[in-house]
Amino acid sequence: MRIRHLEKILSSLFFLLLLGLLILQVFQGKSYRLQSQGNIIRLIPMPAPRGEISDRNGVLLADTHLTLDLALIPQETKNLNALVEKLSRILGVDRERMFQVYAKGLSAPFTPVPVVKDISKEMAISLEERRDLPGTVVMNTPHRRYLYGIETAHLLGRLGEIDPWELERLRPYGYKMKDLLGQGGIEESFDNYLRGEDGGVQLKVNNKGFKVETLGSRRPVKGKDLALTLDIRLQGFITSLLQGRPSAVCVMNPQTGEILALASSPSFDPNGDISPLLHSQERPFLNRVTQGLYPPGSTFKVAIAATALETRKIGEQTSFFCPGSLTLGKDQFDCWREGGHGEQRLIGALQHSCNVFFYHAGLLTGPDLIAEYARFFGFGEKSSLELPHEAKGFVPNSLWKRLAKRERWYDGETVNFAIGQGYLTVTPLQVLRMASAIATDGKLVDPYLVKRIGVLETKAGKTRHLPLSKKTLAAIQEGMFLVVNSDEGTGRYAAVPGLEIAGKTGTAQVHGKAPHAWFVGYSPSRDPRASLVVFMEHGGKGGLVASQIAASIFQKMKELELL
Amino acid sequence: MRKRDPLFWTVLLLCFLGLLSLYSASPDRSFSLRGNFALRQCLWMIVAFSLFWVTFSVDYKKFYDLAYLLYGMNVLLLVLVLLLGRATRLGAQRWLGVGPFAFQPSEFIKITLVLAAARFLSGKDLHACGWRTLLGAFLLAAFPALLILKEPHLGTSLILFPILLGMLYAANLRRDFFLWILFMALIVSPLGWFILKEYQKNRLLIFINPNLDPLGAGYSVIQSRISLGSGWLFGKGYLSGTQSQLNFLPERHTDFIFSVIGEEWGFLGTSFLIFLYLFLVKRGLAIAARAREAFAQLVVAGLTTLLAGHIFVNIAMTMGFLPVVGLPLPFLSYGGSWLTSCLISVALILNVGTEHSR
Repeated sequence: MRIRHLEKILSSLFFLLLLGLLILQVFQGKSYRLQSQGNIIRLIPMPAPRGEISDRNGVLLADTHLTLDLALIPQETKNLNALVEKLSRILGVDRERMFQVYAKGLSAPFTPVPVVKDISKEMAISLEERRDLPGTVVMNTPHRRYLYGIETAHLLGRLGEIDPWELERLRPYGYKMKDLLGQGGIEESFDNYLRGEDGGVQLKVNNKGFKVETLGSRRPVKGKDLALTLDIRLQGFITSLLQGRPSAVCVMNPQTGEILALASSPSFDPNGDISPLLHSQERPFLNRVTQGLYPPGSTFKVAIAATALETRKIGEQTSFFCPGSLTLGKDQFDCWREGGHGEQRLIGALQHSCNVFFYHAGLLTGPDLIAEYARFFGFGEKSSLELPHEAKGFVPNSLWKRLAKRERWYDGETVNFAIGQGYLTVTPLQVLRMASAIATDGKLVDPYLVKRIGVLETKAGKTRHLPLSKKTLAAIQEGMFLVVNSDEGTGRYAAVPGLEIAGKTGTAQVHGKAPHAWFVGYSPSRDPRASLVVFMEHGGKGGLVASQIAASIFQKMKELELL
Repeated sequence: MRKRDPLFWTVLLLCFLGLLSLYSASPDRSFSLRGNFALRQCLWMIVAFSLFWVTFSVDYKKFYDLAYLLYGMNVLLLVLVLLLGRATRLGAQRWLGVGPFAFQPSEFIKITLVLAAARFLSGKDLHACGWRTLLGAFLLAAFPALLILKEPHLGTSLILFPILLGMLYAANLRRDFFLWILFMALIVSPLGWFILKEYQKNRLLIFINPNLDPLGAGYSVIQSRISLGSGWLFGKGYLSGTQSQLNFLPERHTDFIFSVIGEEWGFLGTSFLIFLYLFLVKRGLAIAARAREAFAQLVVAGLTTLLAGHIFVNIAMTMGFLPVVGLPLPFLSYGGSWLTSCLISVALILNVGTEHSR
């Protein structure tokens, strides 16, 4: 018999097995070991609560609140159709809609997909107690909440899902897909501090994805809380005062640069759906205080006065005659008052906002000196305020004109420049800084909004000392005081009994539309504690609407004991 | 005193390793019969070793006389299974209930077929025999195979033919006949495709590409390969295999017990096991070679081929080298009927062995 042969055949089969095992267990062992680890380890992220934002008095402006959401765990739902049917009956939600939300949110089989958001606490408890809904879970989902809605919309910004290209840039800093990212305002510029560090739990799971044990966990670290320099009472008052008209108001402590209020109107509700507003003609997302670019109008006369005095083109006693207009070649440049102001010296010219006086002063000084001093005042540059996407504005000079337009600078342009018209564009914040620098005897401060990060107080902004003599400052300060505190002052409507207010009005001409109205001022006139700017887009004469609003704000600040 | 054959000690060691592995593969390790497979296998061992002793004690020549009778009775039981058998949870009807017990006649047909075929072939000179003898032997296997296929139990049905082939080979069947058999098998196998049930076809397709349906039919193979491979050289340690302990490995106490061992003991454990099995087969065939009568030689050769065939197919299946056909591993896989029939086979082999040395 061939028993020996049979033995050889069977033995060779066994050696074949041995060879197979050698390959599988020894040569490929490492990769299979990794696969087996991948089988049993799951990472479940735990999002960090975002830091809260409060105002200078500790009033909460933005916090995180939890909603109860009903979610389905894909791998644990046995019969999805029946389950959704049942849930839609219990909760009264359309089942097609539920399916859509489910399909959209599906990511991993063990990641819960929220299908019905914000259910009541009672409903959550009763759902949790039911045993006939396998695969459902009630989740606590954190939501950002802005307690003052439209009042702080531009200041705080909002949260949005991270863009793919933004993710590319921010991935090294630990950002992930679907992370929420601050968009606009403090949320954007302080995202790093506010977001905290996400934690996570590493689970050992069995074949069904059920947790067997926790391998490790890292607690999420809450983001840093921020305290702002803002006073929400004042901010709210201003918002209601503006009534949604296109306008901007900013109130600052001119000594330190603390922003007490910063309102841009119209605004939007950061808690709601903003998509219908995206193409609105009124541009509600524009922060007019820092991003709006406008001609400063007569408020710029403050800078002209400082330049002309400091460069000794005029003296305090230099006088020009105002007949109501100035003629240069064929062109006639009007003063705002038809009959003219007659003989004017600097202080009176500021008080009455006499154009003709400043035409002369401007022509004597020339555009390049005006531009140089305008830059000293902070025009044409960002202010270092912590809000993102600030506009720089534009300060022209003769060199720019020659390079950009291939033309020489004309005197007519100097005349326009001298009353804050023409190529010059500024933001309301820049105008406020200029007035504050005059108010504080030449200290140009960097405005700031964030007072405290976590427990650390931030340093006040830098201060730049402007090359202005005491004499120059005193003259301009007196002129600005008279603007508000004299019967002929253009800003007399800004006066508030019991307060010493100084200021300057402006009416910036816009081609074919009503002019922009400006008022910039400060109080008290000696050692001021507050300065403010009011800008009304197409608001008419600055002496009227803008001054009146300024008066209301000063009045309110007095009530709030901010003055 | 009888001299104990080393084959006996090998089998005892294998049974002990089986209990060890079943304990690890049990979903419940407490002292309860519900989930503790090691405990249940212990009970089966009492039955199996009793029958082992009976088979060992009886003079093996008795089996020559009873061969056809036992075969006939077993075929009858297979018919009964189809008529009034118990269905498994997967729908196959393989069990016959006797009181609280249930057993699978298909496990025993492997032995009774060997006995019947051995008696059938032992009287003939296979070197000179013609087609009629071959056809007779073929029918002996084909009849129960069809009945088992009907249950359905593809693996057991098909394994009958290699067993027969092994016996024919040992019995000096002319080599050109093997070529003819191979030729016939090649012609018949495509026809076989149409007999297969849908899930059986799936298994074959999955064998070709397990990733066709990684969570469905291909799941077991993928997980089994991960279990074996992740054991690496030294294994993850007894009771510490993540694949088996966390339920990733299906049917881990029956068809895939080898993967459990591979995961927890690594290549060291599996190669040790292979050498144990190799020793068992070599020892069995050595006994066959020394037997005096043709019947005894054929019985031992057939039974050894039976064990070797199961070992090969089962292990190759866990490695993904053969399709998942549901053949258990001798002495290790859980199952009363299977354990009993394995031990009866060994008893018959030892019986012949002791007769020889007597």
